[in-house]
Amino acid sequence: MVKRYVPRILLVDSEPNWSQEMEAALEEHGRYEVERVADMDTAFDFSYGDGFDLILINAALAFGDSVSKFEKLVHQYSDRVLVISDVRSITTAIKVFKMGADYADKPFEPRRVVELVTSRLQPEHGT
Amino acid sequence: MDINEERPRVLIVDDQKNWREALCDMLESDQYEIETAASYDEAKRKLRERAFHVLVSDQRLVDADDDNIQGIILLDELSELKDGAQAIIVTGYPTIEAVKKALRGRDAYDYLLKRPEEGGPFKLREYRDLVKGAAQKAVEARKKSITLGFSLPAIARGLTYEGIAKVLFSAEVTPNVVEGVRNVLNRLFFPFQPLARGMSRVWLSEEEGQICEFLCWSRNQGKAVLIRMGQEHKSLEIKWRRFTEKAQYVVKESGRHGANGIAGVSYVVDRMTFEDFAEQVEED
Repeated sequence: MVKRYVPRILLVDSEPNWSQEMEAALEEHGRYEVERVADMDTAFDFSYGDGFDLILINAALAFGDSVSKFEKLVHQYSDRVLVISDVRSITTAIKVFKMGADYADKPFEPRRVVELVTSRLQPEHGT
Repeated sequence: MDINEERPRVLIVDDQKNWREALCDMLESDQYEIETAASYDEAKRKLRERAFHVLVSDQRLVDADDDNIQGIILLDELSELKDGAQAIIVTGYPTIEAVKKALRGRDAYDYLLKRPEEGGPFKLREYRDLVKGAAQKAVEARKKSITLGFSLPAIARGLTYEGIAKVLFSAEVTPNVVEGVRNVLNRLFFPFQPLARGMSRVWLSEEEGQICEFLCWSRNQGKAVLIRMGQEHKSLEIKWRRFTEKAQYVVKESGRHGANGIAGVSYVVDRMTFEDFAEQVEED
């Protein structure tokens, strides 16, 4: 039997409850392998070697103190970086798209994020 | 700035008169040559008439239509021209989708809000800086395109080398032929690079007999370059004897690109006024 490829996702969020819930939802429903970190510096260290198919990152962390590391991360992963913002912000979206990454806002429910991720990782089957 | 270089040209598009005027007035008029358009169609026409460096366009060009994003669609016209022009979208009705369409889908230079999200007035300084940055980028891109490969035909009508190859060889266009067309055209224009920089009008005719003709006029120097390209066996003799006598530069690429040789000849037409130029274009 051929082993199914399991896409790897790096989840960067400082809110532990939400982040745990997300990890569970992604692994269960979406069958992804999830690595969860709580700050930009750790995310940056994890990102070496191009080991992820998608990086989900909270906008507050992306544009926080370690914005230069975030920029480097986008430089490497470009549109495989999806910035998720708790609040709808056109200004943040403009910054994110200009850098070459992707932006989505307010996907509060893990189920919505799973849908989003699924459509990103399998564009031919996505919505 | 080089004395031969023109001021960057900016096209400002907004259906609302007060914004159109404000966006003009906010730029230092001595640094740019500014034109305006009030609708999509007018903007499209102006973009094809002249090569602009910067397009500043309102997103919603029909105010009654909430979903209108013609300002962003206009970027397709711009990218077809492939002349390095940069676009800035300005809007009072931003959406995430529109931002994505402009910045990711169409590679706009930037996206500016008429009403900043955090409140306060229109960001005048940011607007000026963006136009300045966009103009610099366009000037650099244009220099590069003229140095590395010739871009004027593209400016003419959004034609690509492939498009020109199709005119010359109708059905038989292979990558080899396209490469040949590119080589011949670049070599034909190479001696005229200094002139090409100041060129502000390009005109192209697709004649019968599969010959492409480019007439590029430089306002700075009052000169034009005329180029005729075709298959090698076609006569490429100049038509406009009253302007010039002999060919300056002839290039051939025989048989290297499939069965067809490609030939081209270029002429410098001295002392050509814009009236002369326009008259020639009219006549054809």
